Amino acid sequence: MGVGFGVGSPVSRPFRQSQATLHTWSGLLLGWVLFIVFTTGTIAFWREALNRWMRPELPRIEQPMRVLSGAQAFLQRTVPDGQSWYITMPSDRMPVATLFWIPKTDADAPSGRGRRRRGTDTQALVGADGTAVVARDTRGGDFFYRFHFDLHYMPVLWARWIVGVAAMMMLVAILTGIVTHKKIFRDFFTLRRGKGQRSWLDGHNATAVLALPFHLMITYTGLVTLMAMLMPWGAVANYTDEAKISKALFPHVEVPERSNRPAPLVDLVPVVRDAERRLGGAAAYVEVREPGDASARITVTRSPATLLNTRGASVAYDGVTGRPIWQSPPPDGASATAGVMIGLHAGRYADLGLRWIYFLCGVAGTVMVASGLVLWTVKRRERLPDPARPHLGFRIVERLNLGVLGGFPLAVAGFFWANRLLPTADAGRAEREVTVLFVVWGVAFVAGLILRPRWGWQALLGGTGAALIALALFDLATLRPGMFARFLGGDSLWVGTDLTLAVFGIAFLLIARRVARHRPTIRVRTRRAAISMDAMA
Amino acid sequence: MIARATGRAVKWRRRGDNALRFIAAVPAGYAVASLWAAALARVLPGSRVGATVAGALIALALCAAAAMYAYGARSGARALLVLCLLGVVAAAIVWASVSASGRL
Amino acid sequence: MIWLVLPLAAVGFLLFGLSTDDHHLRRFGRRCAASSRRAMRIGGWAAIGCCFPLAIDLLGWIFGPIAWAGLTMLGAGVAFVMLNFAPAGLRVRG
Repeated sequence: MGVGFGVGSPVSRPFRQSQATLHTWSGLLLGWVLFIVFTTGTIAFWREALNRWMRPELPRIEQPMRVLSGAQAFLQRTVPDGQSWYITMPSDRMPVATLFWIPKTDADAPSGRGRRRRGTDTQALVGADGTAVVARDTRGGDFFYRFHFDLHYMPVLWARWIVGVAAMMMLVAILTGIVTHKKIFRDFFTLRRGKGQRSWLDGHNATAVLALPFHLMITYTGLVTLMAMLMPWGAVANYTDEAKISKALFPHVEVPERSNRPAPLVDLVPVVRDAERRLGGAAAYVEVREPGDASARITVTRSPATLLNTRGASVAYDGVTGRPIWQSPPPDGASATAGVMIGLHAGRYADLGLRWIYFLCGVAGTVMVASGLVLWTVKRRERLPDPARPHLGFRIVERLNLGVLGGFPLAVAGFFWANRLLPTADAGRAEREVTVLFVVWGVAFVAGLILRPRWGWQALLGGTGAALIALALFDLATLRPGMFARFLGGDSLWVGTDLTLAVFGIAFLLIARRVARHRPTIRVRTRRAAISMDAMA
Repeated sequence: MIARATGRAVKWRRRGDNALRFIAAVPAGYAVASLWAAALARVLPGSRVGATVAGALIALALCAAAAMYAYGARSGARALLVLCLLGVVAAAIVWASVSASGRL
Repeated sequence: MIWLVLPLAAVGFLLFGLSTDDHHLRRFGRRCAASSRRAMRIGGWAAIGCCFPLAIDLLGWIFGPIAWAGLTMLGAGVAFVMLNFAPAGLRVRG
């Protein structure tokens, strides 16, 4: 970098070159974090689908209102006097209601902390028949969603700062990328295959430019989701207390005081029907405070599945009479803008077709980050004084590329396999699936350090491909009722997901074959020959 | 000898310049963006919540712009100077506005 | 219905791609004449220009622009894959 400056001042250099430097380093330094954030975020577009795919025991999709009344029956039986119930409504993507409750806080109860920690006895998946559905314990697609911004094995706040800083570097890398390559828009139809550095550059350009609006949108809106943490200074300048702004941003009905006069809870179904009419769309969450008490209060929040702004409006009802008592005010212009940006980022509003576009753009972004990281080594390999013994920085980048770009997809495949193979009855199984992911990743990383890079790439990419294809075949062999029976019954989830996994498996195998057949470019060979001739002379 | 000494001086000047650019791009860039987030939250029209959110939305873009400017400027020292001046302007706006009408 | 935007965008980007020297030579067997290049560019702009009003008309001002952006990107992707991965023997004579 900065090799070509002129005779004059050593610091003045053309603008475009300075931006190229910035592009290289802002893309590289946290590039591996970006790759993982992009990969998990892309998978998380199928969060609900994976929640279901990873629990094959779940019943078929039911009418939401029938499930809601089943959920109410379950809660009234299980925690009639709980402090609050939280019901995540079933949808056309999830057949059961996800319930979570907080038991009544008793002064003389034997310290509720131990009971709350595992959380297994305060949550349930409940179907239309009002009984808890027995499904394997898994974090499903939610794992990818959380990992996307909370990472794992570290405090959430640290993780979000790391992800936030990486996202800012991504934004800088995208903008400098546009500035640097003045011809990207003219060149982006061109893909010169089998031409070493040129091909990598073309691939990097194509994935970047084809989905450029998506990349800019997803990176900036990603920063907006973390805005309160990254950029709180406007709030500090305006408010003396943090609670004041969050009250203004997220208006909420006041929490009722328990009256201790018992009163039966109204039937939730007509209340939610009324709320859906007032909110103008399907309900997503129902919160009941102090059920069975005269002060009971029901809050219904609109689903983000039909709304661009994720800050969904809500209505509150008296829990005994079922009369509406409060509705959230329409959001302010700028807060609505922020809410819409978060909505654009998460894509919860997207139907199946648009979700596929989101997913494909996410794949393009992942490939863009990966090809950029590989390009760093490809470019420098041609300039190495001795390609047989590269300098330390080069080797670090090369091995990190192998361990992350090659290792992480294999770890994800391992996570899916763990979901299928770990005994379904085990307690703490969800966390064990996650452990499998990290163990596979660790092993892949170590293998990447030991093996020669060429073999390492083949082993990791080929292994990922084989694992994904085998997974689809395993489902075909073991899923009962089978995936085609489910498809004929109107449920295309298993066929769709397994087919997608197989396609990705084939793609990984093709890339692995490509690596196996790759011969270093002639330029390198001649230089190496020149060096060895020098050595002989 | 002289050539090598000049070469070394040039190298150190370049390292110093790069360090200044980095300081301008990252800590200074973030500080300036933060100060403008505060200043815009104070002066933008509309409700206080709206102005606060709008200020933060703009400041995120400013962060990226500051980094690009820090590396594109004629020298690191100049980049740092310009960013500091921009920060002082924003700080003055915040100070004047808060001492005039206080916080909520 | 909204999926109509996809082939329209793909055709637009295909025309842009074929108006470049490399792809023109590959698919037509000769260099691109200035007049046909202009015609292709105008055709490309026309096809892509139609996408936006079509998307707005079909989905309105909130989801229309989103679908437009998404389908235009997808159309560009389709054109890119067709231009670069279609068999080398696929040529237009004349």
